[in-house]
Amino acid sequence: MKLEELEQAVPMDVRGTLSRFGGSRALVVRFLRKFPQDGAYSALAAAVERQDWPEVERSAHTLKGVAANLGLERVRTGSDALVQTVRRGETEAVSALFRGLQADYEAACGAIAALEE
Amino acid sequence: MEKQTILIVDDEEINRAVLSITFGDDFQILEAADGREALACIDAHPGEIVAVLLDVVMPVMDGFEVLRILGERQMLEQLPVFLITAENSEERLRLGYDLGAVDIIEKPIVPYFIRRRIGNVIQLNNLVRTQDQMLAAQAKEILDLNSSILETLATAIEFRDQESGEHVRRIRQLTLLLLEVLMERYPEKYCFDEEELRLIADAAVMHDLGKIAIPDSILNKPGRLTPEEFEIMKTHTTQGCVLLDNVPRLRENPVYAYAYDICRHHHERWDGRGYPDHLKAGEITIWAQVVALADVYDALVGERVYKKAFSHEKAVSMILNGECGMFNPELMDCLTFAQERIYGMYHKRSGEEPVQP
Repeated sequence: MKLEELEQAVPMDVRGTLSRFGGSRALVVRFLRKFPQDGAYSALAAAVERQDWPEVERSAHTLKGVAANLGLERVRTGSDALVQTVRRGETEAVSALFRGLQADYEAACGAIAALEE
Repeated sequence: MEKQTILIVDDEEINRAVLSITFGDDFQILEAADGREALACIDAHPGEIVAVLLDVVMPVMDGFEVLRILGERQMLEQLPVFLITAENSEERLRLGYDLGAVDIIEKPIVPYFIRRRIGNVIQLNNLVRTQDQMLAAQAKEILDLNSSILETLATAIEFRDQESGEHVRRIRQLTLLLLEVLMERYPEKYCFDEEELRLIADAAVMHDLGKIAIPDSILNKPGRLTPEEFEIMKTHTTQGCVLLDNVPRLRENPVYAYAYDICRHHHERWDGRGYPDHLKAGEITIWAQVVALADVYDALVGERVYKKAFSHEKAVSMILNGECGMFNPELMDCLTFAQERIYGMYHKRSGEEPVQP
């Protein structure tokens, strides 16, 4: 898969992300490949499991920032929703929201794995 | 121009990379992965960093805490901090500004805009810094000019009793040297800051201002003064004060209080046998005592119409023996202790402005 095709598959803001990496495709691809290894998601998953709400808020917030800079729109909006929900104290909605985020996250990671150099 | 340095603080490598790429062409980049690392980095590069790009949510120490600490240390004025955050809660953004962030920039960053927003602040700060330096240089120039005008005035007066400007310059140096030694020997008792030292040195230069009111026939009399003549001679202390009071607006100048005191009291002695007020011991300010000692030493080692020059050793032993009146024991200790430095001051090697009595 080429970088531009991610736009349809994930979806992803390819133009904005390219501009953040000085227009370098190679850099965008390099940092996208780091995304599945990033610790924020696994920390979030574990915190949801434990119902550790402050940590859910914290790690979702971190994931949101990374996803934003990488242009992974759905992961960004999904983690933002989690942050807001925890802050409003609506913790009963967390696990459903997380399942949605999980699907988007896995889709993003699958597409990234299929990326060409 | 050499590249200026900015510090990027974020626990996520991806976010640091994005900022690093955005600013790497125009700035030297330092990176830190949490708040504590950031503070260590700021401490390790004092005065070098022109902006901090700071993430909020981080392990170990978060961005708000960094801001709070920098605020406590009053460093935020010189060091603009930008929060770069995925935060969108109004309340928390407000907290960032309240803690002293210059600006808050939301993730995802847009390189063109972030370069503009941060660049503008850095440019403005550079301008302010340049102007501050210019102001400091000008202030110093004014102070130097002030000192040199005072010295000129004092020298003109010294000229009348056959003294050169050297006496005035030596009194300044010797006063500063003695104050320095006092601080070395009695640090728990004496502490003068740079400003105070400058004021005392300027005031010391004016100690004999009142001699302008003494007739030539007395001032330059080769022989011993009669008791009546000596009484007139003694009034140079109080006449100096009269003169100071007649200089327009001098009272508003911080040097006035020191100059007044030194003019009036540089002939007082520790045992109360000086003049004009017969002050004793601690009643005499330490700077008036110091100038008195400097004046006596300088008079002894120099030639006068009424006497030949004494050697350094002879002058010191005369003072220590009390032949020139009694001085503060602490000052006698300083004189003994600093003998060589005083001798050295008067016998500088040629080339570095010889100071011959």
